[in-house]
Amino acid sequence: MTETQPLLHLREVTKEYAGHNGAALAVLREVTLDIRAGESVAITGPSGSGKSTLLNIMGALDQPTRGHVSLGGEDLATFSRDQLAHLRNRAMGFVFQSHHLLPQCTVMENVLVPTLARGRATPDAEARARRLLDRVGLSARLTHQPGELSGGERQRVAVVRALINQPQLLLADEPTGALDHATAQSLGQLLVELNREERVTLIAVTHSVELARCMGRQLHLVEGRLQQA
Amino acid sequence: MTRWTLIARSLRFHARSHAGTIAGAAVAAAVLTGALAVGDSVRHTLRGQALQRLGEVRAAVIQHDRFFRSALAAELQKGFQTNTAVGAVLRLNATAQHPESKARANQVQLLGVAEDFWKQGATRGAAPAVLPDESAFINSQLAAQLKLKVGDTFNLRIAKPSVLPRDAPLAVAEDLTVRLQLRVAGVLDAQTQLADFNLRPGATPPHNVFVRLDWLQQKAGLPGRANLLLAGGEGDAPAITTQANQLLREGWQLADADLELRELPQHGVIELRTDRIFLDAPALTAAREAGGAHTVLTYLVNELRHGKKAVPYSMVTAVENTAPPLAASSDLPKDAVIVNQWLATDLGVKAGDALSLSYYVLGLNRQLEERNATFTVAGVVPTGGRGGDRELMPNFPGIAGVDEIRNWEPGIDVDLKKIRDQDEDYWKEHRGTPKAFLPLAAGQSLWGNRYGNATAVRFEYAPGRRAQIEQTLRSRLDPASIGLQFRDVRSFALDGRAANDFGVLFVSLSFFLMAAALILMGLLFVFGTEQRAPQVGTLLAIGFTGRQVRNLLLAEGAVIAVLGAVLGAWAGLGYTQLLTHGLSTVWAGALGSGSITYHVQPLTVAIGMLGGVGMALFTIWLTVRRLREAQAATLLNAGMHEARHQVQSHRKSLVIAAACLLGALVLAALMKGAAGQAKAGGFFGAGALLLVACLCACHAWLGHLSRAGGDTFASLGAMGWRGGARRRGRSLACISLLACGIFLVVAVGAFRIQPEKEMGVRASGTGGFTFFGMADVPVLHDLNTAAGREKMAVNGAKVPAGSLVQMRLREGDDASCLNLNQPREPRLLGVQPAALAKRQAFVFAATEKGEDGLRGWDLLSRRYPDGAVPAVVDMNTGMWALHKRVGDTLDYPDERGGIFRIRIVGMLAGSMLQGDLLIAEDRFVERFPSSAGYRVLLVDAADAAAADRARKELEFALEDHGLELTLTGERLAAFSRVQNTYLDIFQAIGGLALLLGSAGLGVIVLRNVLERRGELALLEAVGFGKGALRWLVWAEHGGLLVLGTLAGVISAVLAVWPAMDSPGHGLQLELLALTVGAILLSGMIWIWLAATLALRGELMAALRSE
Repeated sequence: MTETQPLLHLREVTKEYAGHNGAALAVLREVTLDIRAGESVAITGPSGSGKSTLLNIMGALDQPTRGHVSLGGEDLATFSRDQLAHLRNRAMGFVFQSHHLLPQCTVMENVLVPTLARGRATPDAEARARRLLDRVGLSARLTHQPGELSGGERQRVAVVRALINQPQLLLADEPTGALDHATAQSLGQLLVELNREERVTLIAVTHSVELARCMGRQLHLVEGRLQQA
Repeated sequence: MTRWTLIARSLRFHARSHAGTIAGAAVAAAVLTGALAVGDSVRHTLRGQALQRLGEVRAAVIQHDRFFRSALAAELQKGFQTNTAVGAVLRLNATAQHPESKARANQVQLLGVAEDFWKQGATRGAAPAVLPDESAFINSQLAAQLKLKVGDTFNLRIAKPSVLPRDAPLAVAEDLTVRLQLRVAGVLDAQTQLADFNLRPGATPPHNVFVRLDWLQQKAGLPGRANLLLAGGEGDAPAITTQANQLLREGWQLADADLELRELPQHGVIELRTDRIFLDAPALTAAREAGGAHTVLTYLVNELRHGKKAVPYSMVTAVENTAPPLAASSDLPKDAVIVNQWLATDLGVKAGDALSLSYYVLGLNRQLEERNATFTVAGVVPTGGRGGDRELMPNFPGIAGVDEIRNWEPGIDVDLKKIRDQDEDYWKEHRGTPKAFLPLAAGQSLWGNRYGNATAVRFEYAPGRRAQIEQTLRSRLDPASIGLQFRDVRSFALDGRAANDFGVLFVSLSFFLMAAALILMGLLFVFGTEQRAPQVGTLLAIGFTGRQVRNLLLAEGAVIAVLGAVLGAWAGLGYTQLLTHGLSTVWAGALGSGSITYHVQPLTVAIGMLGGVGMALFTIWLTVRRLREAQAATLLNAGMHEARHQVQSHRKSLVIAAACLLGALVLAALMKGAAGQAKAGGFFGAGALLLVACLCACHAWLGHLSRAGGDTFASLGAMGWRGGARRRGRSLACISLLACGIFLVVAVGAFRIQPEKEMGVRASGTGGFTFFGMADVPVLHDLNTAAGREKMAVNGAKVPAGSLVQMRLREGDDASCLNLNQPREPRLLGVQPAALAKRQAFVFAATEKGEDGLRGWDLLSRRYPDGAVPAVVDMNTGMWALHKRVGDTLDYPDERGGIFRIRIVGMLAGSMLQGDLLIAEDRFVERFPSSAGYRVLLVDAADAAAADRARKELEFALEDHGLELTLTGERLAAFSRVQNTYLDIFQAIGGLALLLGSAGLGVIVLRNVLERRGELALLEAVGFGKGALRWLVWAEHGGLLVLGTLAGVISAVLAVWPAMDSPGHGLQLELLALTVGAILLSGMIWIWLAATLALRGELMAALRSE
């Protein structure tokens, strides 16, 4: 990848689903988009506009019906299912509206779970987990289980889990959607700071105007088509 | 942190939801371990029984109809350097009767034993006291049967043994039994005193009577003879057998083969002869190989005639052309006869005259057929001259040693009125000196028979040559060729080998229960996994591959499986105890008689445990295998079910359903004209196809319901049906479990036999006969003939001609289902095929095809190039005891120690002839010439009155023969009880499975309703009452119950269709009603319970929490 080359490139991406009567139902229509490394991008739009679908396609959790997606110059369509999993593990981090922490694991363990996809957690990974948890103010909660944390704390753990493998891309789907205003504001701030500190490209799908404003670029999705906000 | 940390955390966190899965795995492992351990218990029991019946006996020589010197035992004993003891026993069949109560015990084993039977290591226990004359030890079996105690007397009637086979020409057929009165000196202990001694494994211990050997030898008229040699003591059975046979080969004497080598210097010969009259083929061959031998065949002819003159009852000898007196005449034609001077004078014959011989040939059942042959006189020799000596006559019983011809009592009819004075004079002066001589080949063609075709072999006399000939004979004649051979009777018995592997059998019987437990376990695991769909989605999103996630869940499942299997294996021991207790009590019929002892091998528990782990893991793998394709986004947003089940086409299911339905109809139509097992099997297959068709149709219909998005609900019930279609896999699992359970329980129940319906029906298991009779002493005559009935004093008015089928019997292992042991040599019956063929008796389940067009019983007459003997066997015996099919062969020892091949040509369906191999009578006597007469009778009776008359007459006339008549229905019922009990067991275990299946329904209902508490709360919010919601739940799950029941019943009815009009079978409507009723009831209880549990409390809270 050259400096001028975008980290993430979407070209004429369309996503359709089969409707009940057999007709195709388009959720995304020929979306073309370039995102450079280190950028922070907010994608906004009304419910059902295809925001989450677009984020899933960017994060290799879903495949477009037509069009191309490339990350770091590599076409994701050429990847096998397992290669995509490895790619997600190595190069991407996800934060969902619901934290999706494993209730049976401690905070520390939840953060380290992504490292297990490659075997076992290394001392380096553990040190990084401690540092990041300390960074987000959870150093006192390492051995707590998700059930013992507040909503904001759980979401911060989810953010740290997303960053543990030093991804190039951090994808957040309504990260503040389930939080109160103050907590949401705090988390949004944290995401932006981590975007800078960790030099990770941040793409967030959100309804929150405040969160969107924190981002370097804002995109608006209407009826499956992307517009510059 | 490692993946195992994650697995451990998950296990702990989801412990409660895993508990159900562990319980399911435990049930499956318990059933598997328990079933396998039944096999251990049966083996252990059989081994215990073998030790009890054999004591320390390792090897045995078992002679059926021959006798050797009892001194042979002591001679062999000297050869053993070890602690091995060799003992001789005289074993005879007997019938015992209490003199006062008249209680009777048939098939008593009377054993004449020396003191060393107990002392020399044949038993581990204490030897009983020495027996005085007229006293006996008995076993508790006999004591119980006759209600005898020490000091009581009882009567025994024994079959009088005879060295000369009773069926042999001129053998005496009178005075066949001897009556003994004995006092009970003691009732022996089975554990320590070998009371139940028996060389053959049996369903029950025999009735044993032990008397002193020398006393019995004297009473039986066999001084110094025995028919059983036992080698016992410490040591390895195969090694002792090998050593004993080596010693036997070195130490046997000619007398042990009933051979006698005598010097006749006055006739210039040394003669080999036998008390059996005819020399066995191996002995004859060995003698011929000794060199310088001449074969002799002397026979009693009824008449020698020339023109109008005739001489009655004369000996005629056939000799080789090179032997005197034929050697004097060169180039004798085949029809030449040399007569002695006395005969020439009496008949007035000279060289060139015709001489006619009339003589009896013995038929199969002592029927005498008089035949004639004409020869041309080639010369006349002096009476008593060279070659014509009185020693040529064998020791014909009733003739040899009798002073006057008029006092003869031979085993054939002689008209003593024909005896003239000159005949008596000849007898007084020359005794049995032959009056005529034929070429050997001519004589053998006339009088050769199954016992042999020579009465003596003569060698040129020389001083000291006798010993040399004896040595040659002993070296050339293998004692094994006349049955003198030790066989290892211990190794096989102690293997505890059952006719069937009961472990595998009970695994099969418990299969459905295991399947039900596993399905339930699978459902519970799936429910647990579904609850964790977002977690799975998260793992996939953060970079775990589908395979990694699947493996994590599998590893978790493995721990659950191991835990379940360990618990299950432990619980399985309880299941085994339950089964063994059942087999010893309510299911005792499955084992024939006797009970089994609980015993478990650690290896079996380990196998059960591993099997349980394997089954549980496989089931878990089936539930999580599709995770490889799971989509993280869908799992995160919608859950496991939606991730797996996108709207699927139900067309494929419809096509399969239609194909299976068509297949079922075609198969049923094709099998309508079939018979027996083919028809039953065909319809069972058609029923199974219909079951598959029903299940596929249900699958398709559920699919259709789930796609019916555009349709509106017509009612709350329809809404419930739609709900059932949402979780198609769960719903179908529930329907399948119920349908398969009903199908199996009902369809298998139709195989139950009701023998009382088979009495008098030819095409049934009784063959249409009324009685099955077994005699201890053979009946030597054909009771269907007037002559035979007269001989046996049977009243023809009460037992009409043609009302009996008589069979020969060769003692062997009971191969019926009443005997758990693996039979090695099943009992053989020799039958005249035509007697059964003309009655079209019994039903053949399978027969061997052939180009000769023979069918049914006539197949027994088939000839094979390899000399195999065709046999018919009951299908249950063939399949389960012998593990043979039509066309298979088995090797069987003949009387002379050789092996002949038996080929199964037909199998009878569910017959009372279970446990025996039936071969044609002519082949039987070829292989067992010494086995005389008939011991098995099948009796026809037109009606109950005729049956009563025949029974009384036969039991009276054949009382001395120890005849025991059993109603064929009762006999068949005894065998059927085994099969019916297995069906009981299957149905009982199947019932448990159905219970588990209906519990599965309960789990599904509970799960479905709990999952949708939000939906139900919404319905409540919009105005539905609790009653309406309960009805919704009922409509949804009651539908599954009804569908499963209907599919099972319809398929089962088709499967048992042919049984409905089959004799002895039938659809058990009570069972069907009971099964269906129980399932519906338990299903309804589960639904009610689950609905009540799920709908209790504040439903609206669920809505608020959403």
